[in-house]
Amino acid sequence: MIKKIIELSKVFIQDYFQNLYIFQEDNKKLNKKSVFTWLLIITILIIAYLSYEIIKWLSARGMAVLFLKVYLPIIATVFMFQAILICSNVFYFSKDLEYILPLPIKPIELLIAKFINVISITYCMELIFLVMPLFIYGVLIVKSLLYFPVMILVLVMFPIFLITIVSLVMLIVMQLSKFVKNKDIFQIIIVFIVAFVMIFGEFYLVQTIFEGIALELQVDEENREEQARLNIEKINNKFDNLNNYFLIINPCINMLTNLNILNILWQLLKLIFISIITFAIFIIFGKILYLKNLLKNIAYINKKKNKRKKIKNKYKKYSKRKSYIKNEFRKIFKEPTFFLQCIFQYLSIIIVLLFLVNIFTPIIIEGMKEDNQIEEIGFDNVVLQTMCIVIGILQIIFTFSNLSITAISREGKNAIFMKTLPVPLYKQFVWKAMPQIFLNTVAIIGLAFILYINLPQTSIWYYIAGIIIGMILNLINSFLMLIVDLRKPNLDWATETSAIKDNGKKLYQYVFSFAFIWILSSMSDVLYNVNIKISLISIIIVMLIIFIIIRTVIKKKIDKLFNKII
Amino acid sequence: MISIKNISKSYDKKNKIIENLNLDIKDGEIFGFLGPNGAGKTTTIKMITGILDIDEGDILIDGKSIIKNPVEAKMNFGYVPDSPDIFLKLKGIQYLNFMADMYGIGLEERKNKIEELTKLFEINDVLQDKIQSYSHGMRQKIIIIGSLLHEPKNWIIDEPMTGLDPKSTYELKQIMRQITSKNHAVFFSTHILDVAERLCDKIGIINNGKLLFVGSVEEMRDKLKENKSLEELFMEITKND
Repeated sequence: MIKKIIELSKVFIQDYFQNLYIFQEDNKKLNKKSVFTWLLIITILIIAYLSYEIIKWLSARGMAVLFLKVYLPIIATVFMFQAILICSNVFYFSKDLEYILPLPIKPIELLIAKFINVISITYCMELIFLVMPLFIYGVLIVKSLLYFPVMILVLVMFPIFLITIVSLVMLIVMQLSKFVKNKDIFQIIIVFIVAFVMIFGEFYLVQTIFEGIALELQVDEENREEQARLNIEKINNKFDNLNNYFLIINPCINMLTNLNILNILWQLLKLIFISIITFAIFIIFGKILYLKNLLKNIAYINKKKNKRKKIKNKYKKYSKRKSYIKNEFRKIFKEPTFFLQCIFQYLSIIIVLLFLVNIFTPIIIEGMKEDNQIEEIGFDNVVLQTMCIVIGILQIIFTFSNLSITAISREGKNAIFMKTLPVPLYKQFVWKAMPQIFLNTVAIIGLAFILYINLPQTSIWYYIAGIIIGMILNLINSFLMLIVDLRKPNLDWATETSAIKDNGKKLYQYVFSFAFIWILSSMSDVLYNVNIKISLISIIIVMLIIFIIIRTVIKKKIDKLFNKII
Repeated sequence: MISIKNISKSYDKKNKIIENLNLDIKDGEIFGFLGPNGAGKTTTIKMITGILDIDEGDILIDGKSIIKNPVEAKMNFGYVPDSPDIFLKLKGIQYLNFMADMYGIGLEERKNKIEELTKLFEINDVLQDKIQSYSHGMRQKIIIIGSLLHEPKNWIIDEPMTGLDPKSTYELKQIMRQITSKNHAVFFSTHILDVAERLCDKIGIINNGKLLFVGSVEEMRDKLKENKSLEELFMEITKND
């Protein structure tokens, strides 16, 4: 049984990671030519740098352990979120299942191998997000050699419980699929429901536990030191309360901060016990539910193939533009992988970031009032800087979109089809950018709305100016990322997931974001002490000029842009 | 009518995949484009349909240049690619509506045309299903129907017979003949020499990017002075090259 599980897991893992090209195929050395490799390195370095700065800052205030208490639940949420996105696909909808099922494999072997597949993906995420921060914490704070083997133990144990819980929930939730006729839609809905229950559950917990903490931090000016100590203690306790809900986070933190052998063993035992119990429940439910639901899914797919519906055909006529754009949206919405990776993921990120903006805006405003910033640097400069920060946030939100950057690649080998249509290529270019332009607009309106709720007294003209700048930025982003995809299309893919994942083009998105934020910060320096209306008009003009240049170049070079689609 | 005027194409600026190709596919003609694998058939078709740009020369579709007036030129042909795996997540009817919109076909006209063609190819009862649930042959049929909705004056097909059942192959051949009876042109590439021999008014044989022969099968026999089948003549011509 174990041998079969190992062999199966190997195949699944190899299949999943084969197209990332991080390692060279012949000598297994790091592939320096792969953009993905560099993307990984840059991400790890950025996370390492940020962790270093935060740990140093917290350490100076005697709050270093707060880093673990805040960072670990955040990472746990990220891992669980990622697991929700991939679980239903890996367990129930992956293309390999129809090839694997005829083999002499027990359902439980298949289930465990699939679970190992999901957890291997999470370990890879650990490499990116967790290894360096924990290492830096050890070097800066703990300064004991024993910390590092303990750190490895924590890294091994950390995701098991989280992934088992998500897998278990998905297993049970899939049981509900028997009540739903259309399983394509069900797959999407179920990911939506589980993800939002998790996100809002966590937000609810955070709000309940931390309610009123900002006020408590400001009381009693006379006994400042004592008050500060008490406040830190309160914050620590509140995070401990929050982390209790994750079950494994407090034992992990305990292992890393209290390097007593007995304590390490005790916490490790706790972790192993929690993981084993959850895994056992997962296996029991898996034995009962997995194969039954899996076969139902496959039967549904085959039934769909053979089903002949007697529904009257709907003949509809639209303009070329409307029909084309509708078709673009339809192609994304009808393919669960494209929907999850391009629409659902992006919308979730927009909601989470807007939620965070909503939480932090009043705190920042309060801070600005306390520091008398408006009197110190002047109203115009405050508005200018706020506007630049807001536009910067928008650019960061746009970076998470996969829509334009895969607009051509998603078509796969059929991308050549659009070149045979009697529609000018420039028009097709613009229409292909529409899904990203539309979703980015949602982000712009959402951000404006959140800011309006928090700053209702601000003149409406600033909102209008902000929305205009946001929309021009939206067009620039969508067009540039589409150009990137046209010049580096990934058309030769086997699965929809690889069409989205196997591209290093995100790097261009990050580079553009850095460049744009640099331009913004330079403009805010140049326009310092200039009348705010003139400043905003200047920003709009500069961005319009950039957009017009990009648009002219696209129009002129449209044939060249499409010459890789062959 | 499709006029290929002295076109050349190379991918690396050194070796020409297509070299000075000249070809006229006249109205009312079924033209079979033959050649071994890698001869340049698909590259030529991709240049005619605007998928690949042309290094030298030009291609006119009913007098419209695919380089200078690509949209007008594209309105004048229907294209069936070799792989029928297009828009798999769409329902058959959604795909056909989309194609009709692209060619600006009116509601009544598209309804009649879709009903006529889907009945002919016997897929009228699956239009509400997603294309991914279709067999290879059915996918081929839906693409063929999509390409015929605007009654193109020129019909360009890449390996059309692959995956079709005998009845559909027969229907396809009938449609080709129907199209040419309306004085429209059909240009198709194929590996099936029997079909080409029996169906085509003219054939063109290409190898290593050069056109080796253009004319009817009879003309080829006369030229080679041999009374052999097309298969044997084809082998002869491509071997000598």
